[in-house]
Amino acid sequence: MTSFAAGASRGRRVAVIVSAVAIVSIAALGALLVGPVRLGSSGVVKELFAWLPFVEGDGLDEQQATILWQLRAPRVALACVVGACLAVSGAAYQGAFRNPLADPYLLGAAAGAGLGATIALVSGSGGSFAAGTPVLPIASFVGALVGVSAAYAVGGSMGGRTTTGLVLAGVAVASFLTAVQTFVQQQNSETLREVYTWILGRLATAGWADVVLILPYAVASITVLLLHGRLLDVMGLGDDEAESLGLRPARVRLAVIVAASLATAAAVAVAGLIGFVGIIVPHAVRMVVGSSNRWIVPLSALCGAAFLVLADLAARTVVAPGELPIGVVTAVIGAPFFALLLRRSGRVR
Amino acid sequence: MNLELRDIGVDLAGREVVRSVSCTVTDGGWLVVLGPNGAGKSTLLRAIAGLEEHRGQVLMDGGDTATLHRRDLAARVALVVQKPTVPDGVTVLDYVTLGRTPHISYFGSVGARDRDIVADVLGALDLRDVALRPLASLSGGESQRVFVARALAQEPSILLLDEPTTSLDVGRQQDVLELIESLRRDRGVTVVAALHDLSLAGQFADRLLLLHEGNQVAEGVPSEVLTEQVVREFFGASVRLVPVDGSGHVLVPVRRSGAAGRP
Repeated sequence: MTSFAAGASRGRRVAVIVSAVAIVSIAALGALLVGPVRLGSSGVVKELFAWLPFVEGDGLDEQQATILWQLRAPRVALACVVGACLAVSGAAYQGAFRNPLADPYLLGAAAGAGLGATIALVSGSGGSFAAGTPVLPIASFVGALVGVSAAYAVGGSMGGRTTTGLVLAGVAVASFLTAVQTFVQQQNSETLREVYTWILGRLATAGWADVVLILPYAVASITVLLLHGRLLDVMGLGDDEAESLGLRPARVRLAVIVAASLATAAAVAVAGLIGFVGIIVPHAVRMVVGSSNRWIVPLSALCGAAFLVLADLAARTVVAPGELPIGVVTAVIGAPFFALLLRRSGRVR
Repeated sequence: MNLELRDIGVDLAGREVVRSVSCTVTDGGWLVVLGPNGAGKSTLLRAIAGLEEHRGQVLMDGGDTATLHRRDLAARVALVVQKPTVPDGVTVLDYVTLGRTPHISYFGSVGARDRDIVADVLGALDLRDVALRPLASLSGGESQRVFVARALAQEPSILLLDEPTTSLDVGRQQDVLELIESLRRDRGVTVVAALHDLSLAGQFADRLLLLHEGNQVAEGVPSEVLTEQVVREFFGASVRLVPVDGSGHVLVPVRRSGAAGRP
């Protein structure tokens, strides 16, 4: 009696989660194997398992091991973390605003983070751009929060607590912040190239320092968002009905927005502006598991990680030995998908 | 649960939308709030549900609901709004499960007991066969049953329904009202419903409250409130009351031009 119907759908969703974990692992392994220097697959697998206790073996020589651990592994790890952050925050924004087109670029979160990071880059701390400058993520997060607070303030003055007001305010704030960012960038021509490369998105220079830098922010914000999955489903009923079910919608939305903005800021700080991940991944997930955020949020994290690992793989192989900016790859895949989505949502309404 | 409204008043955007409404609904009773469009029916229901700030007191078994936490109130009072939001792609099962929200802690998850209650409600409302279907794919009558099911999953003592029969054809209107009647009988839920169909209201309610421009103009058992004179005065309609076996009176609209020749 208890699980007459729930059983079937739960079983399916658990299977989907397991498959997603498998896909992330396979994508990551593939990305570790592909590169200018050929690393044997059995050697890489042995090397990876050597981390486990009681497993003996070194499948690679010292030089190969250095390539694996110092060049490829941190890049794959960073792609996982950044992809997960962007996809989860996209799913969270879409839930909190009940708007399928919402993403980290809405509400000025990413634009604010971009402005913060640009200011950090041009004002000297940019010199130590390469890796591990703690100024960059902090400047990004401050920028993201400034962006979101401004959107909140403007949206609030426009018509109170409605999500439409907030979304429109977010668009306006984002355009403004992007304009300011462009201005700051143009005024500092000596760092123009550096800033520009960063904006297009980069995982190329990734080292473990970058991973370590954003991991705490990523883990904290993703955990908070995972815990809000069920509440986002309630929020899907609209503020009034959510309130009649005992929730305080404004409070839930605030918690979700702060966490999602933190995740966005973390991703932007180390990887630049990588678009569309936050919109295409949650939507693809929704097509498979349906509308419940209890499943969409965790699956978006996994699929976002896999997606960005694969996009980065494409970025460094398509024009090898050259490299495409990863933001270009995600945009090439994301823009048509977004257009398709617009058409579909247009037809529904 | 006994529900008492004491001198309820609500202001919206500086305008007094509901003015000193007072009445009592006994445990397991059915109060229907009547009134022309814009009379303040929805606002009154929202005030009872704690969604609008109001003057006066809402008492449940003598206790003031203003002292209850949002969540505790939601565990006692369920509101079915006039046009519930249907999230994109949501299944009937997931939608009804949302009704368990007041019984689950903030970061908690849906437990075995919650699933039992949802299964029970789906069974009682004959919705098991459609449990995994998208809610948006159901007919108007079925959807209305699902909205009521979500409210029942809240296990409320008081069920508030805002125009539960609008946009349904006559047969489905009767289905919904009979369903509510059976819930009231079998589960002892106290019902407060806003309706605009006077005939149906008169047959199902055990008390009526008539609002007009936010004022309480009549309150009592149907035979006291629903008179030809009241309907003419507040609804601008010419009607005749016709007795029906066992279930009071029904109202029959009468052509105004012919009214001159009436006995």
